[in-house]
Amino acid sequence: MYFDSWSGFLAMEGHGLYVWSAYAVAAVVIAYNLISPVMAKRQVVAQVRRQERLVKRKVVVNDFKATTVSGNDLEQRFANPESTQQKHRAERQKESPESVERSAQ
Amino acid sequence: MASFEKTSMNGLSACAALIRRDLTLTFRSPGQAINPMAFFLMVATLFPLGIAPDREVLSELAAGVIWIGALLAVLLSLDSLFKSDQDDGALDQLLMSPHPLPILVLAKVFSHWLTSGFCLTLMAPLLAVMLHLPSEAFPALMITLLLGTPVLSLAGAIGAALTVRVQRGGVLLTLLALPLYIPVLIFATGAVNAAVQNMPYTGHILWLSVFLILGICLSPLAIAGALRVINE
Amino acid sequence: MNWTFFHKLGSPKWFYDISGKWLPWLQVSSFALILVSLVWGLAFTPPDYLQGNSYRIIFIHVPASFLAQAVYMMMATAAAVTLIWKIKLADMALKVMAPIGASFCVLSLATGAIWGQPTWGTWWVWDARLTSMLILLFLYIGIIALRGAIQTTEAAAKGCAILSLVGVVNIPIIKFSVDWWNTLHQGATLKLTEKPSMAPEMLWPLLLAILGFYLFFTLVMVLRLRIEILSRERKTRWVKELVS
Repeated sequence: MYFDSWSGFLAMEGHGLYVWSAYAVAAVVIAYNLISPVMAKRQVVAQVRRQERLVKRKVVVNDFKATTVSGNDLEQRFANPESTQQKHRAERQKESPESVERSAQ
Repeated sequence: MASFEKTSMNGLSACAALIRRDLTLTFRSPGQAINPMAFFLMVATLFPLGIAPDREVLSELAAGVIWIGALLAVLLSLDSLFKSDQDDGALDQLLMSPHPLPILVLAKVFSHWLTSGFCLTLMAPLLAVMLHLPSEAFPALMITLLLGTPVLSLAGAIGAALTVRVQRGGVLLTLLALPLYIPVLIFATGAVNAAVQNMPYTGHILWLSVFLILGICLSPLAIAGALRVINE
Repeated sequence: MNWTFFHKLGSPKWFYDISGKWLPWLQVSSFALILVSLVWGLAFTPPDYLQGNSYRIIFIHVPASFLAQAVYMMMATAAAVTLIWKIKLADMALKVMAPIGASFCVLSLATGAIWGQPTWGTWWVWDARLTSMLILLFLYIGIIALRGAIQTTEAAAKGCAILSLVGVVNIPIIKFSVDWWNTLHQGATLKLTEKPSMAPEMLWPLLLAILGFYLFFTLVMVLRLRIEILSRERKTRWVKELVS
């Protein structure tokens, strides 16, 4: 240990303000780099969950366009052929196209 | 088929046609070409008003003011380099042409330089007089502008190609192009200032020529690549 | 030569799985190294005979500057890989590295300014190295802004790759001209430190800090890369299963 006392360590022989503010900036940058992935992850997870929820409610939102009964959902099925939800959805559509349209609105 | 053979062009005549087209378009609506020059003149007017009308102060600043004015004026004119072609569909024709795209792009940049950088160079002596640039520095100013403004057009066209699909991409274009402009600015103002102090400036001129050659060789590749990528 | 490793790199799912195993190691090693080196540098090294205690800023300033420059080189490499082999993961790396590099660039500039005040008596000097670092920050901001401005992912990926390559060709030219400009304007350049003359008791914590910062960068990059993978693959089954 180079410094004799705690206050001496903080004062840095008059340079304390500079040294500690530089380290504070470093702490801020490190914190930003650690926090921003956490925030981004929360956002992505929420996005995926929302998408899932919409699929469960029989409304497929494909980023921009909502597929309706007339607007083919082939694209969705092609992207995700085994999805039981998709199959289920296709069956439901055959039964009652009106109900699907209602929920889409 | 024979007639087709006759009318089809080789690369060089395609470039000539492209340059002729761009120049014709500029002459039909000269406003776009005049705007950067008016801007250039205004910058030169504002500096004495903002700093001081003293002869000594101005002659010291003149090289920097003229060059920064020229640089910003070129940036201002670059925004529409590919955008107007994008709007009227001419850019798609250019991309589909059988001739190598880098060569065509080089022709486009050349015609842009003729209507911006070259005109600014012709205007520069007027500004130099207004800003009391010592007369022994005039040749240096003209040579650096002649060698430097094509580099500004070439480097800036990379940014213009990358932002061609971006709405209101002017500020972004500035951000992309400015780092590339710094070497030109440093050597050009260095040469003029050296000439003011009666020092040799051949080294600066040679470096500017190197940048110009590098720009002519490399930037068409980057511009063509960017145009293809953005318009895929 | 066995190329399967190379091809696997192209699979985001493979990377997501394997990088999960790296995370704990990266976390422990980077935090331990940064903590040890900074405490060592702050409290146990003797002060510099010229600059006194203010030189202790070096233990963050130099690693941040190294990283700011190295990250740009890594981005250019990722850009070349994106353009040549069209590997999706390389573009994701290019995207996530930009804000990290920019943040270290800001850190380097800020600590440099703070260090400049006691050493040179001014916050900012138009010194060649400071100016090049500032221009590097502009290059970073340009890439981040371009990524934000182009709507389609594919076009943004290739556009940013081209811009990174243009930037990396220009970095040596910019560095050279700024050096030239600086020697024209002011005779003697103020140097922060002369590397070879550093005493070993100062050099060791510095080297540890550099290593720690590099590991920290790797950690943050992997963290961000994993999230970028989740975001881009959000329509695939494995991401849906993973999240819900």
